[in-house]
Amino acid sequence: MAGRRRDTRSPEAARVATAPLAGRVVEEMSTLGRSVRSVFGKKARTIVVVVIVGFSLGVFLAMSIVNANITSNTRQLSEQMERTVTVRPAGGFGFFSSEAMSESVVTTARSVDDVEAVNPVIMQFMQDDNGTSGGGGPFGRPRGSLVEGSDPSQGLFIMNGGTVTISEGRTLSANDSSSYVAVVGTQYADDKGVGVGDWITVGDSSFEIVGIYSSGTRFGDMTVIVPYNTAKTALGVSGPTTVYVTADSVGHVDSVRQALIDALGSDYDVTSANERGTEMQDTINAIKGNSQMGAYLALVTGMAIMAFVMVLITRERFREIGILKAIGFKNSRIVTQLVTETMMLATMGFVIGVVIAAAVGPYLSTMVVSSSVTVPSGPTGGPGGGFRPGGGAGDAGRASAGLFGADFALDPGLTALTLVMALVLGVVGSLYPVLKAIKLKPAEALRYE
Amino acid sequence: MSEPQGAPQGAARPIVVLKDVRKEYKVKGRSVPVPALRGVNLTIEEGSMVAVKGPSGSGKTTLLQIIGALDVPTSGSAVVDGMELSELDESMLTEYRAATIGFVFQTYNLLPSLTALQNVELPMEAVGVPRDQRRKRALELMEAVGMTDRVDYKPLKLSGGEAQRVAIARALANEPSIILADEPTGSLDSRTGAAIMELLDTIRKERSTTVIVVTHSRQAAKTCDRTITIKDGVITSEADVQAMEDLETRKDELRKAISASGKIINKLFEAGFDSLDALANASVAELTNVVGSSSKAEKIQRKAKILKELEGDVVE
Repeated sequence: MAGRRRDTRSPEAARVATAPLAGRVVEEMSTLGRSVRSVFGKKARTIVVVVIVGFSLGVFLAMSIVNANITSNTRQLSEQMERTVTVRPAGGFGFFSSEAMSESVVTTARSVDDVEAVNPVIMQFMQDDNGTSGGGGPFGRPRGSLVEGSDPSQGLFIMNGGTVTISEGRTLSANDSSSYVAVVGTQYADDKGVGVGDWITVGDSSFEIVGIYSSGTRFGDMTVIVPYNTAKTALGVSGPTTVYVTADSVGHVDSVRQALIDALGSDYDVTSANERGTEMQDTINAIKGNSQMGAYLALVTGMAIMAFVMVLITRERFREIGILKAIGFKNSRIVTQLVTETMMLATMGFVIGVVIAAAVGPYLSTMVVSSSVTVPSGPTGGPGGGFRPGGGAGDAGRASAGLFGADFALDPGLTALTLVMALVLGVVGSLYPVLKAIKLKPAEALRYE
Repeated sequence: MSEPQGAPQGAARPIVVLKDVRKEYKVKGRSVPVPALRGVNLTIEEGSMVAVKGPSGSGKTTLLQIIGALDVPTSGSAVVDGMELSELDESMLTEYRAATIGFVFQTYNLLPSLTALQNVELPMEAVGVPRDQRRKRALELMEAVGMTDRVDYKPLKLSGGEAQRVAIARALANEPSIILADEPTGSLDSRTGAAIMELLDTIRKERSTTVIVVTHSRQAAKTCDRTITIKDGVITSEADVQAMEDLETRKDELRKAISASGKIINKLFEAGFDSLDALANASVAELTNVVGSSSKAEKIQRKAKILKELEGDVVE
């Protein structure tokens, strides 16, 4: 057997014999290696911790993204709505009041001062051949198709706003005003399996699809846009169901509205964006409030769970800390090892959290929206209400979910923030019990069972 | 009898010197601290193997923990390997534990996520021995404790005896001056326990390491060249202890010789009949008075006489 090595016997000598730089690197790698072995050595514990942490982080991430989406969509909507004054038959409901107005409304509107554009629109809900309202959407959401007849010289204009871009074929132009041509939304084209050059039936007539548009929202992409005049013929209506009057500036919206009321009389409901906006804003605020509350709740719960789990798994290891101290490990090494372990667990939890967020995010957004929307009564339906005439709050909610939830995507900024949060909480949660254990004398730590 | 028998004569120097070491614990709910050690004076020579015996709660483990710097005494002086422990700061104590002491625990205290070999490497990692060197040395130590075929086993897959061998290999990793073993055979059957004590003895002799063993087992203590007994936090006189142990040995021998119960032997010893001679020479009436039955007394006396005669034959 090897002779006795006297030089390791006193602390002073041990200090002199401290390993060179290369040795230190090995030391650190061993600490990491031990952390890895410890994390993967206790598979059951690791799985439980990672799933719990992952779930709370996932819910937080999903709720935060839903919230951010709603905020950005709201801004986009209100920008679109600001200058518009809407004319509908009195007592109509939502977009789709099928009662047509007289063409004279359009003429009258054009004669009002400070009006930039008048856009008569025929909007009708289109029943499928079998009498149902279209196929089920994702998550079993019913999806209807809409027919919109609008003046092709005004460019493509869809009811719920959003930027319309032609993804295939062409748009409608002034030359099409009497043609049986249609531009359809991507969602509609997908659902019906049709494309440019195909013919579809609208009312009593056949229309050739000349273009496919995309508006960025699923709800907006379910519309068949045809020229106003041919829509009238095909659907057998005498005039527009809604007339959108755009004031030349935000400041003129109220005067334009008042002029229209004076000119048209009580047979028409004339509403401005501001008025509708207020009601819509209430609805949207409710949605935002819900999702924000959800995000905060998920954040607080996630933080608490994460910290609690870290405290538990570190406490469980007081004895191990005692053993390492008895063997002669420095406190700093023990802290490094345990904190590395919790950071690994936090990172694994984060990965699971991202997966959970991606999986449940769209469902969550639907839930948040449908639980907070109620259909505004009266003529001022707004985008949140009246997807189907007579539809209840649930339908309206689902329609809004299409509006707000369709764009669900993991936001890199929020995702990174969640990772940082997970790591910070992992470190904070484990540091408290670790520091407590480090303060114990080895004999005390060894007594823990 | 207090002379260390296994230590090299003349060369022995004191490696552990405790002077009036006291240790009190604060216990929740009690205003007065509970004493665990009440003035321990002890000198242990280098290279000796010492057993620390005593009833549960007598302070054996506390004594070991103070020598190993796992705990600090409330008062008194503990000088180990020339270092006054109370003068060392936290980081020096850490280095002291790493370099001077090797611990062996009753419950082995191996890290379950590491293999046997990695557990043995651990103390060397603590003092920064490069990987290759510590692996090489860990393998040597595994060989020394007869565990070459279990290097890649996780502790949970090892038997108690095997786990304790690994723990001993780990304790030897940094070539400590002293091995402190707290009931190393406490969780083992007597045969395995004896083998572990033998291993500690071999190590002590081959490496001239001082070994201090806390034990309940008289058999384990027998392997040691000195036994210290602690009772109520103080070391009882070693001469008294020796006398007591000698008495126990004589009682045991006589009991076996005449096939009597421990109770009867105690009565006979109390009455002064403490050898075959005394029993053979006593009258049946005298013995009947002690054991309370004439037939038993007769049997005892007959056996004693026969044994005496046999002894005599052998001598002749």
